[in-house]
Amino acid sequence: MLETPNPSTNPRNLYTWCACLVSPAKMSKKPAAQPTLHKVIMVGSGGVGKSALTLQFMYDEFVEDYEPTKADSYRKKVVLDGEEVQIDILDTAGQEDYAAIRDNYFRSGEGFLCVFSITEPESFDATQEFREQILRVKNDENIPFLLVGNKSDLADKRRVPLDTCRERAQHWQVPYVETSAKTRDNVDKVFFDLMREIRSRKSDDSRATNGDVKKKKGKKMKCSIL
Amino acid sequence: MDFESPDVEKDFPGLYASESGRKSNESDFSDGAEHEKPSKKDLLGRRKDKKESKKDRGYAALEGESSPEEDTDTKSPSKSKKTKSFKFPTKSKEKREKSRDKEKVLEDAIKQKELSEKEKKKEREREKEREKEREKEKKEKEKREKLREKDKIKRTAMVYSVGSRVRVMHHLRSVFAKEKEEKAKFKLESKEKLKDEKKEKGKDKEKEKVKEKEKEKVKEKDKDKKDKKLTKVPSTVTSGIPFEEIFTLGVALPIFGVPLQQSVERSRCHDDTSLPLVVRDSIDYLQANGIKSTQIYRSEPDKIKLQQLKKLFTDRGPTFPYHWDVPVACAMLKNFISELPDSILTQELHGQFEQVTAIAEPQRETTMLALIGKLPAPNYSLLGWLMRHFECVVANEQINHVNIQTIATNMGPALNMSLNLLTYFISKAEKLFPDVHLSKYVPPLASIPADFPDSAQAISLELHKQESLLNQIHAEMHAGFITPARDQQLWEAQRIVTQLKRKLRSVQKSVEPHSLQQHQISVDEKQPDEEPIRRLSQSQPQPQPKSTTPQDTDTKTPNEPLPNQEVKESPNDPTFEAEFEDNFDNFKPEKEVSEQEPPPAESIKEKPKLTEKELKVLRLELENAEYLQLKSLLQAKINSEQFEIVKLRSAVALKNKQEGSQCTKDSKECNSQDEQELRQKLIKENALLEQKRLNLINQIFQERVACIQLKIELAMKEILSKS
Repeated sequence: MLETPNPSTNPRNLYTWCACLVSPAKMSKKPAAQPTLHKVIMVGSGGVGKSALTLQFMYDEFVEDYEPTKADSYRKKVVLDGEEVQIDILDTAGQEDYAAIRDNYFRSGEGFLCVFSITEPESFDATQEFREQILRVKNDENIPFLLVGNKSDLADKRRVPLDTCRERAQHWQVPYVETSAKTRDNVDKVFFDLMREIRSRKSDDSRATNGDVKKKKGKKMKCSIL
Repeated sequence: MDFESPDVEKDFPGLYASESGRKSNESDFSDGAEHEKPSKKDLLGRRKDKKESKKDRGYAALEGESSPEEDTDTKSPSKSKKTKSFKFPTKSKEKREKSRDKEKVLEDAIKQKELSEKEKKKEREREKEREKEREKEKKEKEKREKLREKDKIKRTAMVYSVGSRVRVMHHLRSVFAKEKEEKAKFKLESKEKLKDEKKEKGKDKEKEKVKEKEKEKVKEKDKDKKDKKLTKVPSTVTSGIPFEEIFTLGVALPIFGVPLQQSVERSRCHDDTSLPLVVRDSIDYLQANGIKSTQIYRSEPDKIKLQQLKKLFTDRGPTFPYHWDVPVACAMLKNFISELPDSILTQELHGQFEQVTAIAEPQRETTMLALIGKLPAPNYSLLGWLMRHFECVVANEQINHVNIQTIATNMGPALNMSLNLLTYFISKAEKLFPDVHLSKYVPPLASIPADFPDSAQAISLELHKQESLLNQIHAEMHAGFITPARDQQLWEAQRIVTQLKRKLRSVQKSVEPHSLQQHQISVDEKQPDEEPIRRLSQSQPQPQPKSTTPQDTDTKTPNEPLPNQEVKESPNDPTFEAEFEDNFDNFKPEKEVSEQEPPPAESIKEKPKLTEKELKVLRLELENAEYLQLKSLLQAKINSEQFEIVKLRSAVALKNKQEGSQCTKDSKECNSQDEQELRQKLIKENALLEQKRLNLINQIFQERVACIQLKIELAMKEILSKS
């Protein structure tokens, strides 16, 4: 529905593509092994629709009745830009009771969907805390991250102005997307966008470890920051 | 000269045995005969070398490791062979091993130089650590912490500066190994074990002291887990080596030689028996393979095999059948029990237990039962399992020739109880531990197979195990053991839990045809795999559809029409839940039983001839299984109802706030006659409905019980016809 693409997404994708061209050997190896696995973690306060988004993405089902999640994990094979990949989705608890468990998962997450409900300003405020927690655990400002305003079907009950959301996303330098788990609006989009970020992030990292490509990467990184 | 030395050993075995101390070499030299001995031994070794070199090549690497370890005592590597000969008691077996050691050392001198030097350094480090730790014991806890930290860093630095990855490889393997690797490791480790054993024999007392200290250390570690986490992690960062490769879970959180409770927590059986996995596996193995063996509780185990197995358990690695045999399983049990810091009967109660044996019979049993009831859960299960197991062993005395006396001599010292008490426990095991049933442990599945059973009971059982596993992984991670492998394990376990939960839900939904039909259809469309499950489960658990549907209707229908009534209704609901809870409390003792022995099919395999008693037990088990299933179902219902209540209450509270004052005024004003009549009517109707509802609940419950009885009849007949 609504989204402000992260300026860094597009150039990064380009580089990934370049990297593929540069190192064909790597590409030939990949398909032989298991499909690449991207680990996505859903965070956000209780009742904002993390599980609903996940279930809608996984099984195309929308569950009306609310049942607080402790933690759930799903795996799905998807085709991401022509490449078969696996996505692991970890649906975490919004309730603070399970915060201790959450930490263990955050550590191994590669990308985060930070969900709030556009009808609930408290949940929007809470995203700040989640963001901080993630950055603390991952110790990485550029971790793939999407700010997701859910329940866009309830536009008449909207209590978090669109501008405020966009502002925060811009401040964090992350994309902002509004979704509806009920109508399936933008559901696939958030997951695929995040996977793309994770993928480009991974190829960045692998290039960083490769001496040859390191120089190139350094220059380009600067550009994207600018 | 050459032939003298062995004779000396034979004639004076005590000489060497007594020199168990680490620095006992000096005392040796006071004795002239012994003084010369090393050189003789060397010669002997060389001579034998030529003869046996080809046979023992496989051991070369091992001995290389073992010899340096002992050097550390003297701290002069060149003396290694000599000092060795002094240390150990002179059993013929060990002599052979020693001489082999020497041969190896000489034979593969070049290869071993490298290895042994590394090992020496490591060993020295170890020694230093031990010494430091001893000193630390005297100092304050915090100081100790810091020192140990230093040690660790030093150690890691040393290990790596020397460039020997052997140790690291050990740990890696032990954690991730598959069977082939396991076998390779077997060899490698067996060497280490060998020397350890020798050392232990030689230095029995000292070692015990060290062990005790280490135990204490462990306790402190537990206390300071969190601090450690903080300090440990940076150290790994600085050295750039994954934390766990150097300091394994097994080293930091051992399961041997720690209080039983801790051991159970660290290596638990995920089916709620509070036994450490070692004990469970050992008893399982003996029950399956040892009961009719004449070796049981009699033969000495293969030490190497025993140590290997122990290490596997310590490192939480998987064990395979080739790791086990009857003597090893017995020794494993004994080993675990004797390393417990506290008596199985606990320090406080131990004396009382011993006293009870003196009481005359009618009272003895009741006092004993009361005492047993006071035991903490892990102690109770350990004692219960052991005694039930011994009972089985002794029952087969005709075949295995093992009686209580045999067990007492073998296990008595480890158990630390009098023959009287042990005899009493074993002979009365069934009465004293009625709810302990020896059932084979089935660990949580690594993945859910396509043909996973579809009954709600099987699913919730597995779910329970997986959740227990998940909790353990979380606990280990909180203790600071974070590795990519464990991360992966965590996600996998979580995924299985989610998968099982979904399956369980779909099974339960399929039993509630009305309320959730729409959802179900949508689910089924997308998950055709689950359809067969539904059909099966519909044919199996019959009582559920009857029970759940009326329950649903009578809780939901009254709620819908009048929102105000919800408030009146909801207080009733807890009592309604309580009714059911109470009913099921009566079955609780039985429930425990069934949890421990879920698969009736197995008991059939184990005991092909069914006596009447066994039949009764079987019937009870089946009954319990059914009730358990029912309970989980009701629990789920209760949960959802409770949630509903909370939701409705908050809604009501909100409405009250919003229109609070107005409403009251309105209602007072509008108290016309019609209104009043209507109200009275409604109240009467409500009372009637309530009565009906209660009746229905009673009926449902009775029918459910009847259904269960019928099902059990059916199942029993099936079993009988099969057997």
